[in-house]
Amino acid sequence: MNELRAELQEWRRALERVLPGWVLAYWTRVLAVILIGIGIVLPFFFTELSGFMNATIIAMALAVMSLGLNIVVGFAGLLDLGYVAFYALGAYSLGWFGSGFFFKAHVHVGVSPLASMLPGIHLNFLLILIAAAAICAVAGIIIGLPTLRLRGDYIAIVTLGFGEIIAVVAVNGQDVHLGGGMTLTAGNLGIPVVDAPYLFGLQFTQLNLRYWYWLILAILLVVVCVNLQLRRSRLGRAWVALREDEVAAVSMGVPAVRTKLLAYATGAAMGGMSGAFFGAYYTTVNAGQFAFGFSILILSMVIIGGLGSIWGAVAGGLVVGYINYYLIPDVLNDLPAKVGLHFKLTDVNFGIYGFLLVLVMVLRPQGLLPERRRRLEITGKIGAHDAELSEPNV
Amino acid sequence: MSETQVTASPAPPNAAESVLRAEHLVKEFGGLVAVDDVSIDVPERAIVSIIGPNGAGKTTVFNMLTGLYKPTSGRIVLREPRPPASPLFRLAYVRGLAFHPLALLAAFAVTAGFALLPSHVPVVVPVLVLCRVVATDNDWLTGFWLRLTTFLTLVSGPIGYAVHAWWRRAAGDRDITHVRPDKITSMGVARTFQNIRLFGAMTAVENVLVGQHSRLTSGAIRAVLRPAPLLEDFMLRVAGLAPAAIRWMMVPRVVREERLAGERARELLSYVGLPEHVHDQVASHLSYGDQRRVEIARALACEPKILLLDEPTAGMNPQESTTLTNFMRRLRDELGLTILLIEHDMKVIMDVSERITVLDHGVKIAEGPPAEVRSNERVIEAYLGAPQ
Repeated sequence: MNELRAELQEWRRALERVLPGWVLAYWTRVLAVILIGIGIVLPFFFTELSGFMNATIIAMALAVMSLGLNIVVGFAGLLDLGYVAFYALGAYSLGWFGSGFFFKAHVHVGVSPLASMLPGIHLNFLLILIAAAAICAVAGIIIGLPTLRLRGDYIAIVTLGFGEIIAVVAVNGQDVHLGGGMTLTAGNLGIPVVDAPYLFGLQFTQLNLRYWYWLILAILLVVVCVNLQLRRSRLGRAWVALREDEVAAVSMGVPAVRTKLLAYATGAAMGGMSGAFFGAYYTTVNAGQFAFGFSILILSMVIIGGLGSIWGAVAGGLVVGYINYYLIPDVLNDLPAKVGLHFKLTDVNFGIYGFLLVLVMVLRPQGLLPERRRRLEITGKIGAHDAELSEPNV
Repeated sequence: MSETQVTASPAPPNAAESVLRAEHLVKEFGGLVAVDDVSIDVPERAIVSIIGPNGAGKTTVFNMLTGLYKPTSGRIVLREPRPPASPLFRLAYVRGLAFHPLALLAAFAVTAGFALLPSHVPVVVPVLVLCRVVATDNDWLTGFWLRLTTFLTLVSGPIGYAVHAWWRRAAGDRDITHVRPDKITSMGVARTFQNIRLFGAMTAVENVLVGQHSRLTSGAIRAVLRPAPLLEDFMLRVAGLAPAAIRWMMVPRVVREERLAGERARELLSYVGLPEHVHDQVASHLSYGDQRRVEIARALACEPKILLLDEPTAGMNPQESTTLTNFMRRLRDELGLTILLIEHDMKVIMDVSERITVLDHGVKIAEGPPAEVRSNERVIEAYLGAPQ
């Protein structure tokens, strides 16, 4: 191990001799610029309908969700098991404001010529994104409120309950009548035809995935930037302080309620944006999509990537997304058949996925790209502080 | 029995002098009475100690003073100074013009009007453009000023009255018994903890920055919309070349605030004697003494008037204790702090404190200057046991 480290040091020194100073000083930024550049031109190397593009789009949308959950779980340390609620609300904001679902209404703002002739509420996709973020932020605060007095696992149970409530409401919403024959949701039938985004004069279709790709890339970049900015702000420090030691944080003037609710709201808003994108991409908003397993999927992305780490959340989202939506169904699906076994890899999807999770937890408990702080905690250099206000400390 | 000044509930000798007053505090945990009818009076710029055997309820008193525990009964009163008013407002007030509506209106119109100009270019420019669009006459600047001053004249009356009411109400005593801990901190009461409670995974500087939380203002939206780090460096570098008046316009408030906060954090860490090369080290990697220092710096970052130190010399050798004792005096003299201290080290207590309160089993058994407390029989009994 030490030899390896010495070798790496050697490499580093060699690089320092070769590369100009500014590259070393800003290597993360240079790397980020290169990656973004590659990300922008990536679709030109694939066909317009390639399965890999499809998987990439889904993986990036999942990464946006994972970034949102990372704020709640990673930064603020509030274990949220009901994140699927924001996927549902985001998707329904698209269903409500971007389809003919409310057929009695006639509202059209900045939509394609085709959609502007249809009944219902049709808003521009960017407006829907904003609406989804706003609705989810409010919902996040409402879900967060009852958890404020709780700690750790108890927060998880309450949020889990809320996630399930939203899922059940999504199913039963078809019986909630809003008057004029309109219902709240379409239940398991799904809101069938939602508007495809129409941005800057470009009509998105399922026949060309490139526009979708660039759209979700843009959303992902914006969300990453928001995360980075929040991370090094007063609010970001307050989140981490609350996670580390709530009593000390509160004694240093951090308002616990406000700060926690802001974490819930910001995290939820990002989930909502991604949910709206998913709704548009899948062209339907179906109550069956919002299962508890989805919350766990997102949480596992955050954990695999490294709790509290922004780049970790992105990496975790992409890795789990690719494994679930590309590697298992597209690439390795026939592997068992080739070695003479009679099952498909998609049948044991969850098994593989659970095995990988265990593998990561054993080999690299701090996650793929851990945050410095969390790395310290997990590798045991820091004792976990327990806020024990319930115990009289006289 | 030569009892020297054992007062059950002292009437404060001079109520105006005390900055913090706890009256008849009681705290029960279930059936256990941890603190029973304790009153403490902390005069301004004094160093007051609370001592007592283990389990006497000292830390519980601290927790009540900082709002972490709500007392079962009793009252805590903080004397708050008047908040600083704007110079113009003060002038108007001093001249007895505060109630003259015209003077108030003029003062507010002028201050608000000019305050908008230098540092809020991104706000003012769109407003100007908007006025250009809306204004019907040719002289658009006049139109803008007319509109602005009309608006300010209309709103400044109610605003002026509200500010004045707030200014008057904020002065004087404030009952903080049921106020949230973070509010109490922002009112000027900061503390350290018996078992050091730093944010272990943050660096020393970041710890102090969290301490500054209540003194900073920029919220989430400003933080998100500020320039990215690289751009920020560039802006500050360019702004550094510009004359001071323009510099303030070029750099967004949040960037300025964060920079100043960072500088202040380092200043504070140097002030408490943390060597510069460990400023950016993770707090949990620091030595025990340095962690104590960072904790004090973090408390100082709250800009307190009253500093509550919970066993600051625990685990220190005699020499370090002496340094800390001197440092406490410095805090009082240089920063004008009032210090409330829990301590076990008798040398430190007798050396530094002007007043000592002795607790035993949650009850105040003695109070007074060190010399008196030292010879108090009940105190000796509490510490050494009753004579056979």
